[in-house]
Amino acid sequence: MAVAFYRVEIPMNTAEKLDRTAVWTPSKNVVACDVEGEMVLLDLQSGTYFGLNPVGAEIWSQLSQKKSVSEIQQHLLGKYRVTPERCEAELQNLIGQLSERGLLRSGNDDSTA
Amino acid sequence: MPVKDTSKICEQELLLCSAAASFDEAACAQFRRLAQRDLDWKYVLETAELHGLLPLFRSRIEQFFPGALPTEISGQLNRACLANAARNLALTGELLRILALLEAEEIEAVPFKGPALAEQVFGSVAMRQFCDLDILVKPESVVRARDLLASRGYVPEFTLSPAREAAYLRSEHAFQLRKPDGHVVVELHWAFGSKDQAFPLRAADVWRRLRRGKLQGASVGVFAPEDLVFYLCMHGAKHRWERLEWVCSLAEFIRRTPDLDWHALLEMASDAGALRGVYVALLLANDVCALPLPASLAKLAVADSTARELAAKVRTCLFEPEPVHRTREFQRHTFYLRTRERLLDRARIVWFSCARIPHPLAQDWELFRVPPRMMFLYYVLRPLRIFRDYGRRILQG
Repeated sequence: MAVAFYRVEIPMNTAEKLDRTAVWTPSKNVVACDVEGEMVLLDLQSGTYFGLNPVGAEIWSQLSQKKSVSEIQQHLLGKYRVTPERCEAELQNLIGQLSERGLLRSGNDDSTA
Repeated sequence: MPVKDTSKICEQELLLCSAAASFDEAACAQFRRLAQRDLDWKYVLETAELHGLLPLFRSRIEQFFPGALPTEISGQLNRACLANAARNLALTGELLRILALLEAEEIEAVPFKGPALAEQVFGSVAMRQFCDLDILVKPESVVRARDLLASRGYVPEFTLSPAREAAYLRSEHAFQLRKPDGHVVVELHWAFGSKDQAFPLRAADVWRRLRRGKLQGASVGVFAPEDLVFYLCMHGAKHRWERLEWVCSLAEFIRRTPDLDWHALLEMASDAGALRGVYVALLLANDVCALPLPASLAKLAVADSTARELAAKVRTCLFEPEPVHRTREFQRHTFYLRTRERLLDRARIVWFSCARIPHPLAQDWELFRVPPRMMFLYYVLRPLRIFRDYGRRILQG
């Protein structure tokens, strides 16, 4: 299988605001594993690999535990030295990028996608 | 007799250090001391790979001595671990697909070893090195499961006539299939060992005590902890504990399972005549991975002089060059035989090893071509072949 490896970076600009109470969970078509603090994701439909840095890996782990956006933000604020505004912006950006690539699904979405 | 390579002592010690299940200050200091020496890093990586230890070794380096490796070696190690993670993820995805496929056909299936064990023991499928997918199915479903996978592009290892397939199902324990591209190998097990291994853990008992667990968030069947420990102990014995990673997985699982029912485990092993196999495994986990054992259990294990001798032998042979295939098989078989304490079990193992319809890939089929209705002749021909191959060594003890 050809390996395409994309690093999902967290841009600084604030994307469209997400519902803070929303729950996003990993898509059923994604498998993931921790590699020394970083997270490697594989989209089984496209065969594409993605990499998340340690903060992204932390967020993925929280998403896997079905935590809401707000809960994840609180967790990150407790763990990293970051302002609430920047934390929220980066979190929302990452969720936006992951869901855009089909790696996350809305907690209310029971489809397999 | 292969000569032990004494010139790589420090490299081997470093690998043994990285196999530990728990680290105290002295162990960390020892790890750093060894990593600081002028080591043959190529040998370290190659040996770690052979022992399935690359991810664990990298993890220990990152944990205790980041930056210790020469840049080139560090790059090699990182690339190898990333490739391993990528391959394991692809295999995990395929495993989940197969499980869904089997479930849709109402075939009960339990993944074990491979990704399931990696996630259960280390919390990440990237932390073990594996190359195939092992799935337990019930004996009555295994032919249907194999045919289902074959209908989805998997190629069975061999095709057998109905009579030989019936014999195979009686004497063996798994069907192997592979994707035509060769990247995925699946083993469909209905038991844990062939008849000549008299594997002490019965699949029926594992099914009875089965629990639910998670693999990548999906609900899957998992072995009861005592069954898993017993399985890992005897799987290691079957392969003469040739890979350090097997000891590490066992030690790490025990470390993470503080409520393990030791009494139930020992009772199970004792009933099956494989207490010595468990003792050998625990002595190794204690010696190689610094796994603390309950005092009473350690006392029992140490009191078994044969178990002590076998564990010491494994420890001594860990880094010896791999012998030729035939010698390795013989060594494995005699080692496994000695992990069984009951004479009757040993006699069964020897008897079924010799007098049986051979495995479809055994050389007996080529050596003695007999018509299908005369297959019973193999009960005589095979012992003759085995005596030809191994007789001298057997007679010499």
